[in-house]
Amino acid sequence: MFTDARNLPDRTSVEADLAIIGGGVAGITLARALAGSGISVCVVEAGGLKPDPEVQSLYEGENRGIDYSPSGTRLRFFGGSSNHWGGFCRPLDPIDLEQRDWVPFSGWPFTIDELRRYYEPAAEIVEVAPGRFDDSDYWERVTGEKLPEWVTGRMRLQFVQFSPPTRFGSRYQDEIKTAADIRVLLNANVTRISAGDDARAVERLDIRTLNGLRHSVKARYYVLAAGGLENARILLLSNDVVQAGLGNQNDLVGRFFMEHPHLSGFAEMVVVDIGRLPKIVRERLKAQGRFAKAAFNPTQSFLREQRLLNATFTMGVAGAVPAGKQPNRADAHDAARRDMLLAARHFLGDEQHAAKPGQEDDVGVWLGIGAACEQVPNPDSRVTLSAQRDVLDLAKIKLDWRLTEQDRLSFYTNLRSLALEFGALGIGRMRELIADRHDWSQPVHGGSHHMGTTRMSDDSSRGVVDGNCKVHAVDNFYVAGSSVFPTSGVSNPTLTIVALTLRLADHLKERIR
Amino acid sequence: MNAEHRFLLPRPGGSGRYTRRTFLLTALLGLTVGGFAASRSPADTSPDPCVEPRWLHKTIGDRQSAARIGRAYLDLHPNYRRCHRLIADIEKALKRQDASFSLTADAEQTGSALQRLVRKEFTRGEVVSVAGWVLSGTEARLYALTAMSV
Ligand SMILES: Cc1cc2nc3c(=O)[nH]c(=O)nc-3n(C[C@H](O)[C@H](O)[C@H](O)COP(=O)(O)OP(=O)(O)OC[C@H]3O[C@@H](n4cnc5c(N)ncnc54)[C@H](O)[C@@H]3O)c2cc1C
Repeated sequence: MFTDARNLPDRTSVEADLAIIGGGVAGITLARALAGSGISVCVVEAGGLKPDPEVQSLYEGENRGIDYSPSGTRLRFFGGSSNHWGGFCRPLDPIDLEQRDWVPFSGWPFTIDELRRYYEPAAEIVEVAPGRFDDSDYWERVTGEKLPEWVTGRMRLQFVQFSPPTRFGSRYQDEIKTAADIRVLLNANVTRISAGDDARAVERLDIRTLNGLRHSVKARYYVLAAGGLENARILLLSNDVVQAGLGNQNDLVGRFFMEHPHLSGFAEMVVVDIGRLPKIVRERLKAQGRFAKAAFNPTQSFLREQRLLNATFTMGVAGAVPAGKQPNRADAHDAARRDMLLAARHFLGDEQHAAKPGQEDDVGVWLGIGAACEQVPNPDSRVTLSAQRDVLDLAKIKLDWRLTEQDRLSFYTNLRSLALEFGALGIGRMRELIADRHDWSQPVHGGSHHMGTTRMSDDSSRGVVDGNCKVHAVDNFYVAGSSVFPTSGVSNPTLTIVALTLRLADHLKERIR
Repeated sequence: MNAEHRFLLPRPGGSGRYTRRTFLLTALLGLTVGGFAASRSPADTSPDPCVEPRWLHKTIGDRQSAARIGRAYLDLHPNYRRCHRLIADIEKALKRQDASFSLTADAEQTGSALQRLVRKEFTRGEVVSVAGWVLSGTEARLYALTAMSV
């Protein structure tokens, strides 16, 4: 059932077994997973069923660090940011969850095995199942193209699978509307999570609407699922009992904000014979009704040996270097690519090409390279409350996203590995367009992935939530979403958010029963 | 968002952001317009023009292109502006791969051995950066040898 909180009598109090703050990916997944379990659920959603600029303005914030838009990287209405996500899906790698002595603050409370059984149902929810994220044999079979056997031990191919992309708000709306035990309050902004005097339990959610009403929701259990930036903000705003904010006794809420730094224009690859690079490596392919693309990731053993952070590289054909045409010497790039392709023909082509240089239509092609990287958890990269206020007179967020030298150096080493792999196979030559290795070569962008601000650890001095995603020292209060990720890995987060939420649903079913 | 979104494909008309920005970067990298530096530095009065070894054409594609890259390498490594030194280093690397190898072997054989060597150097990470290109050390010296020969 959907109820517009703006149409309820002022000071309505709603009761349920479980209250979920936020009807986005995590909130909807949790509500659906609990449907029919006998647990009554109230989803409290700040927006309506459609975007609304006034509601969206509540997501605005101040930015202090790397250029970033707090409002442009998320959406505040039913379905949350799935209303504009790109649908890239891949699970985390086993190493991402490990404690790595070269990655400060790394280590999840459990291994990838704990998540494995949730990834397949998660893949169904985002409509990419069956997940074949590591299965080269499968993609060779369905695309009919042999994949190269990488030889340096540095890089391997993994497969990104593309969700349609599933818009959770519309895709699962009817199901939620008709579920007997689920009630969704729309246009209901949670402005405070009220805890009892000893802050050991949450007692109520305070809600405000943009037409001036105040309501409350009382439940036995509460889950905060408002997205990776807003989770921190709501906890920091809930500061009536614990002055630093609910769950923030150890000054961890909002710290360790992580993104996946995305870079482009830092390098290019020239290839004489594009036929040697299977299509799935250079474009999104449809196979058996689903789209996928191969990405290059460092091997786990290389990451361990070189003490690196994870990274992923994808490629796409950016242009051809035609034969027969006089090189445009005024275009330094055209000329440089042409020289490289022509000089290295014997190293890059097969023997046939080598024997007949210059007779093909093209001398070769060049490929653009995109990268996304893992960053180290960094306590100084953080979300705090700003002095600026929104239309509900609540402090906006102040975001200060930071990267470290370790992040940058790791990226360069991983990039070099890509060059070595292509050289070792005799497929291509890479040109690094990096002017200064002491700085990020190009502007760094985020991927709209908000992670780490309520990190998970079984040690309460190192984490806001424990391994079950329960807020330390608050008995009936949980957090869902990528804010609990202690490290980010390099995979797009949503598939893992869904998997973790399904795991949380299992835990809550046991506990609430 | 994802890495894939960030490809900078050429726009119709060809005057995309990529072209402008990377052009600037190229200037920073010290590439001269026209690709690789076409002239030797005034200090380079190397009296050591090469007699092109017979096997070189079996490994090098277009000689003019290779020579331009080779000159960029020599600008970075002026101590290699000696033909015998380049050939000696190439031979040393080949012998590391196969102790019994001799550059007097026929050109075909040398060409194949060099192909294998270049790939192996990439595998081992024995690479140099020349005007941004990541090249195997021997590969770069082959281009340099071409530059000395043309
Ligand atoms: C442009 C873009 C592209 C993306 N592409 C990808 C991709 O390709 N792959 C991928 O894995 N991820 C991608 N993402 C990230 C993905 O969208 C998020 O990981 C995912 O939506 C997070 O789920 P969530 O439930 O934690 O938060 P959200 O989905 O954002 O949901 C949070 C919900 O909480 C509600 N809410 C917020 N504050 C309150 C409040 N005070 N009271 C009540 N309700 C509140 C919001 O209205 C919203 O509905 C992308 C994001 C963007 C912006």
